Amino acid sequence: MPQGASLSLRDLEKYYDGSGAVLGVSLDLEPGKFLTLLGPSGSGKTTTLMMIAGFVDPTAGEILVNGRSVTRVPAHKRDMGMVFQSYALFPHMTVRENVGFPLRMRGVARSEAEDRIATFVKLVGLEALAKRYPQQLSGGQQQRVALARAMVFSPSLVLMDEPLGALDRRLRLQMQEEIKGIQRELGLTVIYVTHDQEEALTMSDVVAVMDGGRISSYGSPRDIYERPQNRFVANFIGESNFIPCRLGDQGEARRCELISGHSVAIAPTDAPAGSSAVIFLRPERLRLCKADDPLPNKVPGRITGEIYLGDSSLYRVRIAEGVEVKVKRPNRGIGMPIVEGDELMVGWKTTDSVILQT
Amino acid sequence: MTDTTFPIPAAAGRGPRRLAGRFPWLMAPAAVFYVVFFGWPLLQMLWSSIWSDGFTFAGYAEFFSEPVYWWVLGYTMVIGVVTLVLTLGIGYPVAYWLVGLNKTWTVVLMAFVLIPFWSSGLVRTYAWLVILGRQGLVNTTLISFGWIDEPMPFLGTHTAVLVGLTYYLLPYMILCLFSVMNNIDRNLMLAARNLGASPLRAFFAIFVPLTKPGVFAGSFLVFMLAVGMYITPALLGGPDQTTLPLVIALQINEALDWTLAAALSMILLVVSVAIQIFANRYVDFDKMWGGAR
Repeated sequence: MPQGASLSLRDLEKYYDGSGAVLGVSLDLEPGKFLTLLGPSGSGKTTTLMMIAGFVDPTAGEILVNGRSVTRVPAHKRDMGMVFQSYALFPHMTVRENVGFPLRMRGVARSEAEDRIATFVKLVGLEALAKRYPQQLSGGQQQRVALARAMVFSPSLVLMDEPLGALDRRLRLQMQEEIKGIQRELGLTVIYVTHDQEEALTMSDVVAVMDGGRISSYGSPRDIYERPQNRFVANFIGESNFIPCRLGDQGEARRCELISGHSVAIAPTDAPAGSSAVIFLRPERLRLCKADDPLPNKVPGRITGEIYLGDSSLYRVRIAEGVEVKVKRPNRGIGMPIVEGDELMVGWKTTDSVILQT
Repeated sequence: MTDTTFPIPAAAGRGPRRLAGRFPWLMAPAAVFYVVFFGWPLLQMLWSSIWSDGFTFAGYAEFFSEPVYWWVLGYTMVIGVVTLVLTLGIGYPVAYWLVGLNKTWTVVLMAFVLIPFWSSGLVRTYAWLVILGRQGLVNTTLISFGWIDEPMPFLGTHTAVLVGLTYYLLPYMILCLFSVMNNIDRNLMLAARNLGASPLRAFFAIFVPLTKPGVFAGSFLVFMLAVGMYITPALLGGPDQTTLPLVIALQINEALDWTLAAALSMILLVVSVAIQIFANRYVDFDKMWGGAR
């Protein structure tokens, strides 16, 4: 039984002096789910979060928590816990006092408050530092205090605004795991804002990719990554190849023609015959192979460059005049060695490709 | 600033202190200046309070045997405290309002706060003579409206001295408060609201305690300047508004009793420093403001 609430946004809009920051955001999130608002700066993700928290008044639209509108409820009565990027710990209070602050504001009885504080300080692993002041803690420790403080009062929603942005990579990865673990364990509903696609993919149940004040794509991390709904999302998350093509006739085994004149099979799409589109393919779904390989789609290419990544190598392959693709190949020490200038085939499975209209 | 229960000032002071540790000679000009123009005269004053053709405690003896000096000292301290309370009471809301404005307005209005610094204190105190005098602005206005028949004696009252001192020292208080308030992370107030504090509670539980260093600095400065002020009580006060600096000046210029003058100066110094240390250590400002913890 998740303790978090459900969240619904209905056509949420925010205009500042006539210019729109958020232009109609709608979504429904089940209790206990981890939603990430992912987007570049200026995409409206932070403004959306601020409206949910009650710090920014929406120009139009509704915010529903457990089906009840909180659009006109002041911030301090919304019962949401927020984690700020700058931590926003109260410098004149110890770790215990910081974590206890929301309980004090709610008039929770002393003995119960003590118990809750102890539980959550322990949950984030700071028992030994409970009497310290924020300035005496490292960045990661401060972030844990902020986390405990945002969860200690069993809020309906936990809001996080780029909470790991100021930490170094190793610590960030560790905190991602911990936050995810606590969220699952307590069944919290989390709204997480970030511009880091890796963070969004590893932590979320649902990702909302935002662009220009709108949700441009909404779905599970796997859907968003493997079957992007448009070019912006495909481009924003991970490495992508876009191969221009002209679509063939509708039908069971639909095909399209590349610039180079080769014909390849494509997944079903509604787009009309003869229209131009791009085939979207992730670099790790492309294979370098020989002409006799059983892969259904193969086009010849020439290796024009290699980037060594440690666990894998990224090859640039020119498959037509002005068309290069990136192919990721794991460094397992087997198979043929590949060097620049090699003439090879680039192949893929039809189901790994997505047709995106231009 | 002895009573700092949280380590903000310590953290703020770390940089310069480390710098001084690495380049001690950087402090040399300041150190020389302080020794020559502050430390040495202070020692001389101490010396002349106990030496007049031989060791003497006549100055201190006179102070302790004459109750009138006690009264004057007490009055001086009361004036200092009341001025402090007035400047804090007026300055705190003003500074709070200033930090909340957008940058342009903050700069413009801060300039208005600072403009009085550019004109001499003597001129600004004389201005109050013009305003509060028998034929002054206030009296002539009140008479022309027919609200009073005779000019009211504003000058030579406690009120006149307090008005003059508050007016003179208010910018110091505002500057001290403003610089501290301006450095408070705005997200702290948002965080407090988010965690369940009403705007008023957030203000008293978070904002006010964080301005404590500014309140202490401003209070210290205003109190010290108020008890040492000569011009304002001399011009706006009467015989009943005699403060210790006036008595010291009298001893130097007219009675020519420099031993007594030096002794009184030392007493003023010791007492006002003692009051500050006492206040910082024993007044719990959190409890005074109710509700920080």
